[in-house]
Amino acid sequence: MSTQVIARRYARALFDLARDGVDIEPGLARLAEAAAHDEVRPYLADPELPLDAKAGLLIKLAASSGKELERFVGLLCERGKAVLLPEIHALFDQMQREAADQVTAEVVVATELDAKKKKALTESLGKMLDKKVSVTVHQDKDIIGGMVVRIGDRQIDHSVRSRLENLRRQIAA
Amino acid sequence: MKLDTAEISSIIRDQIKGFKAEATDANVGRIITIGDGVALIYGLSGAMAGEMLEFPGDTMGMVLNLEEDCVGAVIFGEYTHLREGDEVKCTGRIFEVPVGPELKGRVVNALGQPIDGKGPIEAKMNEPVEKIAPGVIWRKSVDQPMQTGIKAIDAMVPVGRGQRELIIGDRQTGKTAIAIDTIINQKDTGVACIYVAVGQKASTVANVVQTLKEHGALDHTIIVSASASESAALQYLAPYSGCSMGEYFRDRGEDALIIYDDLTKQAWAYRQVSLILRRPPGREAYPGDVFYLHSRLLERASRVSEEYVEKFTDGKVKGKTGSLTALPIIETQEGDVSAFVPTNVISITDGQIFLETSLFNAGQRPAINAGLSVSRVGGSAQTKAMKKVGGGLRLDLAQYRELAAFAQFASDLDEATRKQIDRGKRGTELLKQDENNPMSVAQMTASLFALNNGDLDDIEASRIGDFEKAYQAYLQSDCMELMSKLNAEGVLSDDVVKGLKKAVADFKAKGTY
Repeated sequence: MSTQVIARRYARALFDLARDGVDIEPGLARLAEAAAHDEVRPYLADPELPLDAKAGLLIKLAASSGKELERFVGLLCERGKAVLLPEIHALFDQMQREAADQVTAEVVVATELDAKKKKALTESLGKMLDKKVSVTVHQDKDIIGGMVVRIGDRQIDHSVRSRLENLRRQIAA
Repeated sequence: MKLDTAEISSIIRDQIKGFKAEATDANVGRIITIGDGVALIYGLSGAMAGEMLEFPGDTMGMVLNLEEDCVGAVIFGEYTHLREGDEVKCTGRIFEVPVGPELKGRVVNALGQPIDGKGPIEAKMNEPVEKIAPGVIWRKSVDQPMQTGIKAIDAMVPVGRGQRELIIGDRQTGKTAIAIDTIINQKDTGVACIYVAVGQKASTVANVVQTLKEHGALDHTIIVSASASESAALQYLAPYSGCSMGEYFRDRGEDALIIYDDLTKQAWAYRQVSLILRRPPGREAYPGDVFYLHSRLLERASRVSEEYVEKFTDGKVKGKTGSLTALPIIETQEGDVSAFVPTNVISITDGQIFLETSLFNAGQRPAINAGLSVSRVGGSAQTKAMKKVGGGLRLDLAQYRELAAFAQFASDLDEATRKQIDRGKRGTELLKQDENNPMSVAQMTASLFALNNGDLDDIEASRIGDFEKAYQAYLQSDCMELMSKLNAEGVLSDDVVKGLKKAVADFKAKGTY
């Protein structure tokens, strides 16, 4: 949580660079993947190891990432923030999608959603939000029926569980 | 009572029929950390400062910190059932409490929920707890008295309607007693009273309720209690809740009195919440805005003009001013008034009533220090009669104390000095007053008139209390007309002066004490 504030600043800087025409995305994805690797992660987190060795390793692992990203990795390692790379990548990705008017909607349903219904839902959500929506579907029996749609912090709850809960409250009041 | 099952099921049926199952669209977040009544919540990007939050299990909270990725919130009441990762919803409402005359005679918590077992409160309105005080143009200067019924206060440090008068002193000096006497004295005056108990023992609050009930003063009083066992968030909030309840009366052209007992404990509760929210600590570990905490609360106590009331009520109430008088209480440690919170509140209020342990232990009750107690605006609100008889009293007493200290070393004194000391001694004795025994303007005037007139000079100082009691009883039985005239007019006219002189002479001639 606390690292997110820091990661967001780096992601914002990279995002600005990407908008200026620098190719960031593929290189950053490779770097993030490398930094998230189980064997690389403890190496990066170890404060005793030399900084340029860490930077060198990352650049080597993410072959041909471009000179801007190489400098970026050098900077991160110098400040001891190389472990944040996966987080920076995720936030960068999110910023790009936001800029492109894309959102991800997480849909929770009790029973499986067929392709036709999913398409209709995607379309209606797209119309409602005026954005390109990609839908990911989860199944959760606890909601009993209906569905819950989450878009970022916004939650549209039309599940049987919440309706029953509201009914309980109304009767209890 | 026999339960009719058919009736119950018909009620439930109606409720189910009328139930609208709509999708709820809310801003949500998840708890990251929780502890000590404060939760850090990830998400809630649309939260407002001061907004009510809904936690699982019908628990409510309030947003206090808005940060880049997360929100800091206090939880009202029990929080042990909440877990990391629990979902939190925005409600879109700023924190509110029920207000209105329906609350009179009730004991509620800081959220306005009844805790006296007398059933639900059918209040018609809710008001936000945090409101901005009326602006400059809507105010009117204080010029009506708020009688406390305590001789020492009404004569020397008079309080006006709409004034903020601080009651300050160590523990066990009779601070609450003054407040309770004032509430009792508002009986049949149409002044609505609100007593806010912050961080006190529940048994103390129960005693206050009992005392008010015994003196028939509960019917015009609302008691807001956030006792010591309740969460710091509720203790921090209670004064604001009480203030909103009082503002209801002020804004409708009525008079109200609110007592915050006490603001020291509210500052402690706020310090706790602030430190847990990781706000930087300052002097005495209080957060930077502890001055604003009290100033914004006390600014809401005010006297508002006829225009304000008319505008507020859409012309329904015309030609009436409204007022909310505040009597905040501050508890000092070892008489240290230069601590952070006491100095803040002294500077905010329009004067203070200073109570001293040494006076209290010497039997001078109420233990008001006449030298340090002041009222900055109350003088213009004092009744004419009280002003006349109480005018020189403060100065006389101050001089008496100085002379008395000096006279301890002198063996023989000149006539004038001895007279002054004797008068002062009798004055101090006369200002003693029993608890829960407020006096009317006429009673106070009669007693003080006798002192000023020199009628007490030939009575032994130790007998002054008995004399006064008997004299008051005589006035009640034999001079009813004079007393009711004095009460109604509040002026020492020639007739009244003549009457009082005659009364005291008659009483001394035949009365026993």
